[in-house]
Amino acid sequence: MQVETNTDRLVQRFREGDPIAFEKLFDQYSQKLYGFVQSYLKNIQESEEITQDVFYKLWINRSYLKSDEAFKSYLFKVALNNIRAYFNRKNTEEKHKQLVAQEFILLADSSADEMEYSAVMKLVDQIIDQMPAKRREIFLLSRKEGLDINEISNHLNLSESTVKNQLTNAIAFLKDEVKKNNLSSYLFFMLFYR
Amino acid sequence: MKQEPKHINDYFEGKRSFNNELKVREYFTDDDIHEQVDDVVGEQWGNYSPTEEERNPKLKYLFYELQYKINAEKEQKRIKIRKMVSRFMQVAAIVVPVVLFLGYNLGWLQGTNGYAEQIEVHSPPGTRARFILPDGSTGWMAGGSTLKYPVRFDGDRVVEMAGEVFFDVEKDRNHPFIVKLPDYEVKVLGTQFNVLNYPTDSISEVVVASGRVEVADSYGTYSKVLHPNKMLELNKNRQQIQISEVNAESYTSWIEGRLEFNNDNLYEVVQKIERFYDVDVELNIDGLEDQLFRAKVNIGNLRELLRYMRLTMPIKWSMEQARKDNNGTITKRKLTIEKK
Repeated sequence: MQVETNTDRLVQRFREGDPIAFEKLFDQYSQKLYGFVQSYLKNIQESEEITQDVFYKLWINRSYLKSDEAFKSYLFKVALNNIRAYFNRKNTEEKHKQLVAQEFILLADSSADEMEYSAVMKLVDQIIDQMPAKRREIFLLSRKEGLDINEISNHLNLSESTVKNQLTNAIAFLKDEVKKNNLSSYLFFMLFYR
Repeated sequence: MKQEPKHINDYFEGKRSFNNELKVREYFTDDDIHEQVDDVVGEQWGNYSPTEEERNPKLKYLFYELQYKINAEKEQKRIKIRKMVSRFMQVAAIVVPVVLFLGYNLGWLQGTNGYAEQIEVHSPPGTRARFILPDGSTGWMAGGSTLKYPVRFDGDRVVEMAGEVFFDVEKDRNHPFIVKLPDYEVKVLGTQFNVLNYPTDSISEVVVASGRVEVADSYGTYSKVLHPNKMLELNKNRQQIQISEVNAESYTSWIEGRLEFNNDNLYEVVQKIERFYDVDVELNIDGLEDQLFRAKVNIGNLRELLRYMRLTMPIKWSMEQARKDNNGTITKRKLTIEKK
């Protein structure tokens, strides 16, 4: 009970713009907030940025935080919004790699389902990187940017048939690589010996 | 969706298989299960406390960095305000004498000395503005609203308004607070209530958040007492009133930057969009007039709202950016909503 009244008074002082109360609240909640966000993100820099952003928003909106409860629930809400935004952004960045993984790797090797996500992404990166530059560019324009053959040919000033051929080659290359690499052992290696 | 707590909890514990990662990301970004996910994560949050190795000794530096940022912003604001004040003073120098002169003349014509100068404030479309009245009452004005009040209240506290205004009135038993509108007036002693009365709308409404509110028309044909969570609607064309039970919060959430739609039809939705987002809307929705829409969104992100609308109604939309034409007049951005 004692502790609660103390926080209540802290939040009240914080609401009135007291920088010392702000610092105390930061000391009280920042480690929990950071640790929690980091449990999801596993990315120190991003988790630090989110921690800072949450406290920044708390400060900006302090006049609405009428109680200890309001302070705590707002803190959690902003943290969760940030985690959501992070997943959204990552999904946009990695969508094409997820699809490549599902289309080529997981179909070729069902045990890959249980492989660690980051290992799968790394593998996809490596395979794509091995393509010749032009083919890789065309492949990424198609899979990552979602352009169709006509748009790619306009964009790169190539004929549609060239683009079509390069895409066919890219897909054949992916299939070959997956076969050649004996993936499951490769993935296990990535998983345990990184 | 029974599965999701397990996936999310596994993930939280560090299980990062390809499949689990995809599932958890999908849960977190799927608007339809927003609340379920919030609950699961909320429970984790409640039970969580960081272990020694999860702690980050660098965090305090983040605080110092933040403090620096906040102070820098404060300094910037001070400079901006100083600039604004000097601009305001230039404008005030022109406007004030006119008002005082008018005030003086009217006072003289009416044969009273107590005529107080009026202040008129406007909030541009797409904004919200907070105000404080001379008696300490406060409130918020929605975009495109006007509020008129005297520099000093003398006797009854009388204000005039157009648009949408939320009032939080200081208690003063001896001096009723009166909002004068063309069709009726709202009289209170000390309460919180929302008044919506755009001159271009045929519907006007008063919603009570707390306390007791009296609404009476200018001709004395009706006088109603409203309690919290009651709404009085006036159809201005027919001069008909209707009182209903509502959730006052959904009518006042805009003051906290949230907009709520509670089974609003598309016309009502569009009216709110025009006011809160500063955009002109064209509606081509033959046959969808009765489509009802429910949502809670944060004001500010129009695209998010449009995405919700498109998910729940068979519509499509397009946006034309704001333009300046040859005469230098600026046309607002224009949103077109059509039937799909």
